[in-house]
Amino acid sequence: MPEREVVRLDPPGITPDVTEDVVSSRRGILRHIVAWARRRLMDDPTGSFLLGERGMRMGLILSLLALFLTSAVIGLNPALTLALVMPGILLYPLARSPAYWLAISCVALIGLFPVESADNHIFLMFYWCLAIGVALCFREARDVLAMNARLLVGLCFAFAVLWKIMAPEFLPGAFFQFTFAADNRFFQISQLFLGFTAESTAENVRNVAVLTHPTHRAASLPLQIPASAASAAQLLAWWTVVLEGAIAVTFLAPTSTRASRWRDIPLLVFMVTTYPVATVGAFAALLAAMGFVQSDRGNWRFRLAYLLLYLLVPFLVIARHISVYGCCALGR
Amino acid sequence: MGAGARVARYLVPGILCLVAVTQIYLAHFHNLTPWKGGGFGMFASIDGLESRPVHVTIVSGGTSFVVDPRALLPDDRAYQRVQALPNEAQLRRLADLVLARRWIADPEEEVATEVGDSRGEQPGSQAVLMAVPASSRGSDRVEVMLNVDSVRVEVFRIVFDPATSELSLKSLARLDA
Repeated sequence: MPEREVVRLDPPGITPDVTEDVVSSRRGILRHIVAWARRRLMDDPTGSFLLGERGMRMGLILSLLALFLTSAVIGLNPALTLALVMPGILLYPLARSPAYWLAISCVALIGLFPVESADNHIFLMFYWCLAIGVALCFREARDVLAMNARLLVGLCFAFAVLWKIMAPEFLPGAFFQFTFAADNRFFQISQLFLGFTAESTAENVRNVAVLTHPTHRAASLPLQIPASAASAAQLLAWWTVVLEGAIAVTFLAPTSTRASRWRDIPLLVFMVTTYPVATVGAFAALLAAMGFVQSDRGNWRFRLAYLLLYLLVPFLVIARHISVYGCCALGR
Repeated sequence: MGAGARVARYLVPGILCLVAVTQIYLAHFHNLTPWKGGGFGMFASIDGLESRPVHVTIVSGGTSFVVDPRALLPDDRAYQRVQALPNEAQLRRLADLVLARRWIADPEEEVATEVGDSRGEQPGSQAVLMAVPASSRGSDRVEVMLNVDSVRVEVFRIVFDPATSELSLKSLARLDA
């Protein structure tokens, strides 16, 4: 029997025959994403599909998807939001239209009211939509948008650092001690690594609930904080200030400076170390999209990193919810 | 580059700065929670919405009765607005809602701040009496109509002392009507 010549169109291990089975599982979806990236890079080793006008298109699509992902949090009807963003995703000339984005920013503005109870990522989403609309009015839209993304990220973290320095409970570690004790997003870490037990966690949660209940009149209640948690809290507080301060400085520095050239590193470190724990999925997706857009300097590797992080956000949120509920179930 | 183009380039970052500075001002001088309002103060302070209980108390004949403020307001968002920015207008609105209703107290339904099954025995807690709107009670219980002498609306924030690991409440704003 004559030998058949096998022509590989995909990287080894990923063949069209098994594509459907691979995609059907969550692990398979991740492998599929990575394989897609590798395939594109093998076709285009310079990563140019992530740069220039094609990169701009991808950045706009990521931003539209981030708006859809945050629609429920913002208070927008997800179905209506999907109807608003899909035309831009499918029709690039529409996504390139300043009027389209100015209309979207008006919709995002709705989510800001009432202003005094609007979350920060809703503000950032509005700013980003408006910035895209304004940037697209310029001939050099990519440069203007990249500059706005860089400044918005830098200012966001600059004010975040300012708040952490101003808040009397942050640098001494009191904020993280309270968070480890009472924030269910940290229960898994606090019980695995910081000496909290299920019983102490339950007691802390109960005491916080009693103290903050509108019809209870407790004057003060104790929290159980292990000594190891107190040390970790202070360390984490300073690490956070240093990291966020590095992001603020490098993103706000002029692009000609050495500090600015390395700005993607602290931001990527922040995203990788923060969002698996404190999953604010909407914020993570938006930050990844903005990081992607501002990284238009011919270095496609950072853009690929932001893209992969963006694609991983839903999985991180799902995994985090599973671990939190699993931890709470075990605690009972 | 014209002046207009230069302004347009930096318009959105400028708006961010303006909003953030305004938020810092409101947080420091008008008790806006650091977690809201566009100042990027979340994860800097424990003073979030969940840490700001709103206490509404009716005084009738020298006796204090506790009212659940959430029952006065149309939805959770209205309650969160009071927590987020407890200014005089918000507190006055709550007080007016209390004064606009008739209240009864059921002496048999004493409510204690309790942890687990203890009734008023937790250190720092105290037994309180509840007041509910008159229209919500059935006629088979003992009902005492309250003459509302005064209403106090007070918003607190949590304070954590790492030296003693103790949580306490600090008053942010108070209105007596």
